[in-house]
Amino acid sequence: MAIVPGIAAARKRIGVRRFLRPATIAQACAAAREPGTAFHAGGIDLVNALKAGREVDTLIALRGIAELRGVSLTGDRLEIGAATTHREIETDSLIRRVLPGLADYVASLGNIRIRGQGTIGGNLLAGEAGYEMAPLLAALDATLHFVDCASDQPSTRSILDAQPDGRLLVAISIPLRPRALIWKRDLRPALSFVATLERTGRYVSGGAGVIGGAGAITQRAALAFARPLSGAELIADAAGLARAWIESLPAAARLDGPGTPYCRHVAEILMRRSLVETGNDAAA
Amino acid sequence: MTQPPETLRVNLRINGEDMALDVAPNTILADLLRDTLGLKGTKVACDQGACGACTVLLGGAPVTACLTLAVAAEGSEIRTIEGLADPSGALAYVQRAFLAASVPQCGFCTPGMVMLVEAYLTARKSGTAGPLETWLGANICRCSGYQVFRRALAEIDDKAETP
Repeated sequence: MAIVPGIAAARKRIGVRRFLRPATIAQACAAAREPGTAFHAGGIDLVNALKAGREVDTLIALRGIAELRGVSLTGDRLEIGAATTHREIETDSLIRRVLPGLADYVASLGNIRIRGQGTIGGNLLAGEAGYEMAPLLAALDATLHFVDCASDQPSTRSILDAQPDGRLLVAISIPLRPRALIWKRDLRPALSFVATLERTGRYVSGGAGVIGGAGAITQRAALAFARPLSGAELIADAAGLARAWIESLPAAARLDGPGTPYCRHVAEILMRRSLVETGNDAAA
Repeated sequence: MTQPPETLRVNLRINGEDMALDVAPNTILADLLRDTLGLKGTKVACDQGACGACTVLLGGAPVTACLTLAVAAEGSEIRTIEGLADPSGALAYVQRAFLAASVPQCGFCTPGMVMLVEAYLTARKSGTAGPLETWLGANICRCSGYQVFRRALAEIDDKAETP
């Protein structure tokens, strides 16, 4: 039996002294009430932060908690455990059946190593503006289910209000309804764009668009449809709808930073293209 | 005075050998492999998960050993480049393909590249791999030997032979 000296061998400044492996959410929350703790799931961003000097005394492992992993259907909602990895999402047979666009989108993130380790909860809560799960989940109207570790009380928040503040993210809940999912990632990580368009047969009745990324604040705005539009009508109205959409983003939600006018212009173009693509599909 | 880390017993199966190690919670898997177990084939380059030089297989999947805490690998099967050849020393299929195409230049990225492709072939068997091209962006070669790398991989992708 070898004794591993740890930090001396690691050449790192990681100051973690304890690593706990709770089996339940309640145990994890109880451990988190102590000072100097952090949750560990995939660990990619966390370990990098620890190497950079973030001070954590005790890590609380989440990957061994069955309640935080896996994919299920609850009524008309898809529930994804927060500690489910991207790779598990992209290869999940249920997701492939009920929301294949989600699997395809996740399969295009990062790389195979990162997707195999990184979790959906970590992606959302890492605080990295360029990470791309938030725009997608905001477009899908997903909600986040937390447990407040101080009170053990559950709470639900929108994707756009996801700061953990002492809470443990348990699951992501996505409503399932017929809609086209379109994303444009050519300008990532500066700008991510995701749109959903609700379509019944040859008519499109509404939708929403989300912008996010390192050059943007992740925000969502609905598309204003006075009535359901045929494919041809959608194509004809695409420019006006895209203009109205970008203008409807609240002031606080506008893209930030030196590239703001350019990013806003590009986002409007991406929305217009998405509307035309969907119009062509509906007209076919 | 800061208290020392509390070691944890970690059970791992590394290159086919079961091991029980007492590991400090701040130990990185790459350092456990290299410094404690002497498996120097796993390289550390960027040390922040970007380059893939430290790629090993954890439960058959490629992971970034420089960002993996050893204690988080409890109960896992780990394969490193040293565990790829069979016990007689005969190289694995991927290693032979890399040699045949003269892939390595400085060779520093090669172990990680080989492990990545090994994982791809395993995923291909289960039908979850997707196109090989989508795997290639995971690891970086600082010699920029990508064309030779792609030639070797095209050979692998075309051949019916799998490990």
